[in-house]
Amino acid sequence: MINRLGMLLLVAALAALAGCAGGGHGRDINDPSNSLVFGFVDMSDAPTKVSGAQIMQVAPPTEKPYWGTDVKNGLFYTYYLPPGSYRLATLHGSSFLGGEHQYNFPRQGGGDTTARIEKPGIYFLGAYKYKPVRTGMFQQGKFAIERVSTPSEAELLQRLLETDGEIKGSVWADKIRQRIARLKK
Amino acid sequence: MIRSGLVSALAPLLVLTLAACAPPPRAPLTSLDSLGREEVVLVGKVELVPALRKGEQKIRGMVVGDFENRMYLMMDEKLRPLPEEPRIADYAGRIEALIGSTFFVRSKAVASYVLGGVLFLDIGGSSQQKAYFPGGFQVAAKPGDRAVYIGTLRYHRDEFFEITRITIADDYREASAQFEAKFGKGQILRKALLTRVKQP
Repeated sequence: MINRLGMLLLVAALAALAGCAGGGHGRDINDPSNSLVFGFVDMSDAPTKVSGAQIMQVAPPTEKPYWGTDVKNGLFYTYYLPPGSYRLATLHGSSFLGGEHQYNFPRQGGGDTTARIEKPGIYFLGAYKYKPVRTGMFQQGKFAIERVSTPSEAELLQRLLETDGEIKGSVWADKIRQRIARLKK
Repeated sequence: MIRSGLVSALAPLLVLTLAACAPPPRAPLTSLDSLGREEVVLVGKVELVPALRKGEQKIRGMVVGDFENRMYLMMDEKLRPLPEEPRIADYAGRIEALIGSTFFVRSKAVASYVLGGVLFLDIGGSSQQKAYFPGGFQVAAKPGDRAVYIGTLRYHRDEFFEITRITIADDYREASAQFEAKFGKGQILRKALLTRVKQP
């Protein structure tokens, strides 16, 4: 099923975003009100890989709505989110030939790439594959994302556990192991 | 690659061009004397529940047009579905409704339709983001009318701008008082609330 969100692909100067990766707004990784929010996007058909992603806090209102994420081979995640409503806002990346790209997700609409966090926990936004969408010469570029079944939530959590040193030494390690165990039942 | 670079460079210009080239909206009216014989003033309001919060709308840089807290009601005398992404021509004759305030706009004294609403959430930066609102409402103006009250079109939404409910409220008393203050006593403001019609 193609999740055609009519998203805009823009080439943009990304200097302002460069320092946002993994931004936790000064929160402690072990803060009990934190949630881990993560997802995956396969960018093999995109002009660039993903080197950063931003999650926008849409509720409650805040002066700083954008949360940076860590990104590893298409897996994007943050473990600092307090309760609230969030949406995947942008992906960005660059390549030698393609230059810098920012992939904007539409502001309107709930759905898979959004999360309402009422209780702290682990929230999976899903795994997706980038699909290019043809547009006219002077139109803004567009793309779609298609939900895919692999990698699974458990595989991605396992990857997180194995590759993120900070998680290993935090309260998240046990929570993730428990979640993987539940998913594998 | 070249195309991407070109689009990037042109993006702010395209926003300006879009705004500058868009056909004019329905003109606000200050005096009934300026109405033509076959014209009517439409009186109504658009509300968003909850209202826009600080930071939900971002207007950056030099933008031609009035976007702040405004919903563009796309209108036509013919009922038709709006394209997923409205074309510039679809903006012709729009009502630029300041959300939460009564509008008084000049219109032809014939039936017309609200095809949908557009709210610009992000404009003037490197991206343009809009929220779309359902239409399918008839404005029952008719020849001979001079002023028609169409009601308050109230869109209930969640934090992701999903529309959860639409109501048409009758705030005639308030609108009538504003109408009288604006145009004087003795003018008839006929009540003809928006009605839902089936989209073709």
